[in-house]
Amino acid sequence: MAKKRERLEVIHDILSVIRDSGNNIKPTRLLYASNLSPQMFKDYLEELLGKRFIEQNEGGGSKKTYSLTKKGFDFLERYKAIVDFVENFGL
Amino acid sequence: MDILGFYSGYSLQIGLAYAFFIACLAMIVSLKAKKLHYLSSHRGIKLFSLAFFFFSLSFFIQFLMLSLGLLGYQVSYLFDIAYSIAFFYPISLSGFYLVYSLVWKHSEETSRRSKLMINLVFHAVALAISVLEVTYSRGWLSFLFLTQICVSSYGIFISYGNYQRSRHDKKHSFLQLYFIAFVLMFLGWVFNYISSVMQSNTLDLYSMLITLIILMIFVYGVFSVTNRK
Repeated sequence: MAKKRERLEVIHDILSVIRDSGNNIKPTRLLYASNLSPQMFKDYLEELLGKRFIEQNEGGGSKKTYSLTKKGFDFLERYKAIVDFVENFGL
Repeated sequence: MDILGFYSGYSLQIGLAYAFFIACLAMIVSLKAKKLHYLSSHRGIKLFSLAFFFFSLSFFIQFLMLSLGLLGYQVSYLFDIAYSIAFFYPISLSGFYLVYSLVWKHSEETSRRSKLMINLVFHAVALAISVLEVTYSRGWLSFLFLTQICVSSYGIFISYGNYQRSRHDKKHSFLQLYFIAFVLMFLGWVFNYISSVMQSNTLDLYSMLITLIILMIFVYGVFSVTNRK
């Protein structure tokens, strides 16, 4: 059975998918790539939007896509340091 | 060189410089952690940052008070009580938040309401301890020191468990130093406690040195972990 992902790891995975998709991805594709249940995906999406890791883009014909903000890019860049900090300080 | 004699002669100036230095070191640790919290919104990092923020605040308050003393200001009895509460309150909080940063994952706090409740409880208990310390503490009965000795004992237990679980993992080498920091924290509070009863300059110096070492450990830890590639 797959190990349960920690919150930081899930956020990293979601943001990585967005970045690797040319920083522009449709919600359905992001849902499948995130490997989360629809409800959990919705919760994480709300958190990421609320905390400005990602932003929503309204394309033509109300096609919604998501892209990373600067904070999202910074998170990915500093992910290893964040995880190291959490693990080394037992947080 | 008679260090004790020098300390006795210049205790105000030494205390002032020490308080300022400790406040700065603690604030550095808090701000470094806060930057990571901004990026991650990780609750444990926030609690850790808060612990050092309140620790810094308490020593900054001490620095301000000692500055008044050095400038020759005479303070009233009521002002002295207010200062004592203002110093004890954040220092109590810092102990609570530091230990809680190690155990929050195992608590039931999931909602914003439960997080708020825990914060309120910490602040209420810290305030109560500060007021009790000022009004009722006599001799060996010290609410602040005894509470912090218990808190740091619990911290030793938790940090030892973390260290044992990751003993063979070189990536988590700081966990051993964190455990040592908690042991020193415990010793520091014990020395402070005994010194408060016996009025010992020697123990005062030891506890100051221990606090300095503890903060250097955390500054080292924060910088070495966050600067890793």
